[in-house]
Amino acid sequence: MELLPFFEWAETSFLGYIGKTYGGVYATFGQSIHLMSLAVLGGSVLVTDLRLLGVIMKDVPSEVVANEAHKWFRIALVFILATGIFMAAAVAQRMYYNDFFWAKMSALLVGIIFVFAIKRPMLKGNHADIQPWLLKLVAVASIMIWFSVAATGRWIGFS
Amino acid sequence: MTDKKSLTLLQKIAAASSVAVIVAGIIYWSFQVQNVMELLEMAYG
Amino acid sequence: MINELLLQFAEWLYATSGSRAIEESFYLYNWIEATHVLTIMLCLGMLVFIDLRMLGLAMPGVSAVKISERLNIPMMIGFAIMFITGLLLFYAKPTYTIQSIWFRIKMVLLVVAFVNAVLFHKRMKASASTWEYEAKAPRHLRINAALSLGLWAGVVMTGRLIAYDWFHCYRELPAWLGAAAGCVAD
Repeated sequence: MELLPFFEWAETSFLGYIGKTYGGVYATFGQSIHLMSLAVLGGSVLVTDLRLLGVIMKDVPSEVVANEAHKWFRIALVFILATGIFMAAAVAQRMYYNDFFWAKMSALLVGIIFVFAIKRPMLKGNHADIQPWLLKLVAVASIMIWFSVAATGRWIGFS
Repeated sequence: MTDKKSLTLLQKIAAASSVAVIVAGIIYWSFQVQNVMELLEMAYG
Repeated sequence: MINELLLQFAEWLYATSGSRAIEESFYLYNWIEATHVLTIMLCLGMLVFIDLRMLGLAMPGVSAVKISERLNIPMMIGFAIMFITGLLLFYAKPTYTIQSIWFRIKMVLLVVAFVNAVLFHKRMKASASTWEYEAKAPRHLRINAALSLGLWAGVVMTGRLIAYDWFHCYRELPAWLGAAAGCVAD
């Protein structure tokens, strides 16, 4: 499948036009809100995973932590995707040729599938019924994925 | 309660995909670091 | 006067070999910058959950004081990392940064956020036992928490905007803005 035309179209779309033309909108509504959402998304990932690893909040039930953090994870994900699409549209053709952009998109896809198809369904029940090593393994994998999404994302701007 | 030791299908998938993700991540990042080190060696010797 | 002194200090910093080394090294600078940005997940991530708990928007069933105390340590670790990497970033580009209006606003917001945090802590300690298991903290603490979220959002935004030179001294600026940004007549 040839994706370049889609990226060319994105840059000429309304979103792309706004982001390209108004640097202030791009930097505030795009980048700044993307970073604020990163704080919430990363926070909810770390709160859950560090709890599963037994690093923080050992005296709070991990089910409560995981359930509550997931609510904010979803909200942050909506904002981070929306602002991410907006930013990518403005520089779509550059993104098409950027290796880190594709690395990030792959990691993001893996992350979304991992959260909604595996981690979340597994953590819904009683955590005492899950082997402790499995909880820790999933937590490490989750941190690895979201760290990679954020780090490759930051590197898009450098390359 | 009796089958607490055996993993459900979802838990097996979770374990396998977690291992896959961690291994892939380690390979990707060590590859990136190695790339940078090679580049710096080329530039500065 | 103060702007001249600040600029002189920045120029002196700029001339040191460490400052030149960081700015001229693509990887060193970018790795410090990436660490600074990514640590947002740890530092502000924990802060957000403390504030949301006070507002009754996260983990309302768990003691608010417990959440605040448990998340405080990882938050402070994150803050320490952001503080050190932030200093290094300033050290790498002191003359540009000292005359950035966004950097200046960011520093003011940080000071206000610090005062707000100290106040919040004091107030929480004083009355915690009476409400810690309620879903929401008392009104004055909720105001602190909301302020904290707003101030840190401002810190994030102004921090991001330092990269943009829209209001830098080499632009046409109104006098008040030039003074606020620290422009010095040459």
